[in-house]
Order: sequence, then structure tokens, then C-alpha cells
Amino acid sequence: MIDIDADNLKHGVLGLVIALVEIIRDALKIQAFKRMEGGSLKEDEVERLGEALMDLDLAIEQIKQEQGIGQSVQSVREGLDNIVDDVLDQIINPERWGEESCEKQMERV
Amino acid sequence: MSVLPDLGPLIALWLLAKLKGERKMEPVRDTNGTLVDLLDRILDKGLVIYADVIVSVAGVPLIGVNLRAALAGMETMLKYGVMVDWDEKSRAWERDNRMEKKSGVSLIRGREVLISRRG
Amino acid sequence: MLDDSKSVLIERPEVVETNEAKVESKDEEFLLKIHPEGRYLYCVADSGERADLGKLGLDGREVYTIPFVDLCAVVHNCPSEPYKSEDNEKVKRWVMAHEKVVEVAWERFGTILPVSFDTIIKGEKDKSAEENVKNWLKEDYANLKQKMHKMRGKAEYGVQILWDPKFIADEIAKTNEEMKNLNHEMKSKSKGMAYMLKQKLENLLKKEMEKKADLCFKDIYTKIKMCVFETKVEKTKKINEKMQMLVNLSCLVDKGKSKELGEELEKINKKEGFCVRFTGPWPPYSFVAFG
Repeated sequence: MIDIDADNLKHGVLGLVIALVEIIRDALKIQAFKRMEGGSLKEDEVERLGEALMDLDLAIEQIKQEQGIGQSVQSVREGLDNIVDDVLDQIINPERWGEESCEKQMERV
Repeated sequence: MSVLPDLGPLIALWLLAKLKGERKMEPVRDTNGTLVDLLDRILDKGLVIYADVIVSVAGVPLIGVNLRAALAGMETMLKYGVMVDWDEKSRAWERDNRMEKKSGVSLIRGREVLISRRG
Repeated sequence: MLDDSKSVLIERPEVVETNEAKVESKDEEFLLKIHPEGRYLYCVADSGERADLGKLGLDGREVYTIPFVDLCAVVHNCPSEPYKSEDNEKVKRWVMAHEKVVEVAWERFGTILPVSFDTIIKGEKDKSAEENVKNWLKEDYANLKQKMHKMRGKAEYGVQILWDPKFIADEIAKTNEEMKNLNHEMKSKSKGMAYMLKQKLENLLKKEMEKKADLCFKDIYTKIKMCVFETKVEKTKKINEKMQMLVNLSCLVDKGKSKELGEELEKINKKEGFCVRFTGPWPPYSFVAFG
């Protein structure tokens, strides 16, 4: 059970939320960039996109600073990276996670 | 006195060797500096025992989670309760599924494995 | 239900030095009364000797060997429950004790196959833990012998190559034409456009760095492979904010032949922007797992 108090609400839950916002922002940047490279945008559209993304960057930085959750957000993102890594690892290397050992057991029997 | 000119080249060689510094790296092992390297090996690796009579099973985060997290600087996540639930869930899963391990792993449960098994 | 005659053949209480150890040993005695006994496994050694290694084990337990033909399991008696604790210092002490036993066995018996921390073979109603250990050694005998043969005279070394991404990025930025042009272009543009061009620049840099990382990996891996008996590629890890890990290898090397490897690593370590972590010798944890 997660014990909720003001401090860990901030770092735990808010950290998660901002980490998610950052990930979405990164996806937005990638999409915007693709559109720009694809040539489907006019110059003033590129200008507006760029400015909007810039504002988003600043807003996120401001929240992190004001709430003092910069480290928490980084930890969450690193934690998520590790989980994704582990999931991939389980697909690539099932034996390391104990599953092949069952099949091998069966073979021996 | 005639010895001195012969020493010259020797001294030069010695100086050259000193200036070049260490010719090779030496491997290191010390209690704190290489603790992470030790943990990586001792917690995750080693001989795998294919037997029903094992109490601890590799892949289950029974122990060392806190220590490794602390060393990796992930204390923040544990401190604020983000990881505790996952840990508890994977232990519960392991307990429930240990009996079923003998009969093989179904694809559906395999999916569960991917999500709930978090070290 | 537990059969009394099976469950409790405990040796005489340990000589304890601290109160904490006293309490622990009492807890263990209690646990041993309600759980069948287990054998905590440290490693398998290249010897058929029934030997005593002393009170080196976790919590000062007596470590000894259970032989089968010309192999033996290095163990201590414990309840058949995993060792668990929230106390990091305690866990650290256990881990250090485990490694100490493995090292002593390695020294004494010459070749060993190390086992993961907290591996316990349990006893059951009809079969004691001791029997289970022997049965396991018997059933896996051929595999264990094969591994023992492979590990004879060898040790594991850890090799990690890191680079300073800022330094490398600067180097790339100085020489890459496309990037230099973009940088120049950015200066004369409006805010929003400049931001988007910056994205383009960052993407380009990322691609170039990945290309370089790939080349460096292949180059280093090839060079190291030639100096060692066997290599195993490990996942890269995060060490600190400044340096990024490019290569993480476990190397199986003939004991005392790590000189060539050391020389090769020194060359890499000397390169600007690069740093090498060379650890070992370790018992061959990475090479005994499967197969």
C-alpha cells in the first residue's frame, strides 16, 4: 500500500505525471519534426509549432523547478527505461527469467 | 670513469619508460568500488539449478532490491512508495505460480510474466 | 505435517559474539523446528573431499562440503526459507560473506562453479536436504563436469568502456558539414523556426553519435575478443551523469594471462573522451549459467 502524505504525493504521483507529460511532449516533437521534414507545412506553421513547443518546454521546466521534483521525474523516467529494458530482455532471453528451465525440466522427465 | 658513458642509454630508456607511464591496466576489486559489479554477478548470475527442490528462484526480487536501488540512486522511487507495490505483486505472483511451473508456461500467463515480473 | 524425527537435527548452537547474532541464531533454531532443514548453496567445487571450511558462512554459519564422486557442493545448514531483510547493511554483510566463501573454496579447490546468492536446497517429508543435494549432483553430473572442465584455470574479468558524450558531441559538431551549416542557418531565423531547426540539429547529432558508438563498439569488441578465451556481452548501465557506457563485457580469461587484455584496455583508456573500468578477477558467474 502506498502511504499518502503531502511529500510523497508530490514526488511520487506528481513525478509520474510530469514524466508522462515529458514523454508525450517528446512524441509531439517527433511528429512536428516529421511534418516539417515532410514538407507539408508552411513557414508560418513551422514558426507557430516551434513557438508552441518552446513554450511547453519552458512550462515543464518551471513546474519541475517550482515543485522541486526534477530528480523524481528523472528517476521515474530511468525506472521506466529499465522496465522496458527488462521486458525486451525477457523476450530476447527467456531462459534468464526461469521459463526455459521449466521446459528443460520437462525434457529431462 | 669509463663506466659513465655506458650508463647513458640505460638512463635514457628508464626515463622514457617513466614518461610513457603505465603500459597496461590492472584489474580492480575492492569492497566498495566494485560492489555494484559484485552484486550484478552474485544476485543475477551463477549456476542455474534445474531442480524442484530450490527454495529461491532466479528472477524473483526477493532480496537485494533495496540495496541495488540504493546503489543505483533509485532511492527516490522506493522512498516515495512507487516501487513497493510492484515488488509485492511479483512476489505474490511467484508464490501462486510456483506449483504451476512444472506444467509449463502458457502463452497467456507468459504475458502476465512480462508485466508483473519486475526485479 | 512435519515429522519430528526428520525436522530437527541441528548442530550445537553457534558460539555467538553479539546479541544480534544470538537472537538470530535463536530465531533460526525456532525456524528449524517448524520448517524442514535446507542447505544454503555457495558453489560446486572440483573435489570429492568432505571438508570443513569453518564458520565463514552467512551469520557465521559453519560451511562444509557435500561430496558426490569427484565433485562437491559447498553449503551451510539453514531453514528452508530464503534469507530476507529490509536492512541494507545486513544484506551487504550476507553478500560479502557469500562471496568470501566462494573465494575460499576457489582458492582451496582450484576450480568452482559459483551459484547465485540466496539459493537454498530444501528438505522434504521423505527426502532430507542433504539427499536432495546429492541427487541433484548425481542427475546433473555430466553437465557439471563439463562446466568444471571449461572453467579450469580461468577467471572472469569485467570490462566496461565509457565515453564522455559532451566531448564526443563537440568533436562531431566540429567536423560534420551538415551540422555546421544548420548551426549557421539557425542564427538568422525567427524564434519558432530556430527551435525547429535546433530539433533537426539534435536529431542529426543523435544519429551521428549512434553511428560512432556502433563503430567504437565493434572495434573494441573485436580487439578484446582476440585477447581472451570467451566474451559475453552484458547490458550497458548508467554509472553517472557525465559518462555514458558504450560497452559492457564479461570476459573469461586464463588465470594470469590478463596481461594482453590489460594492455589493450590501456590503449583505449588513453584515448581522449574515453574511460575504462576493468574489474576482477571474479569467479566465473557469467559463464556457468546455461547450456
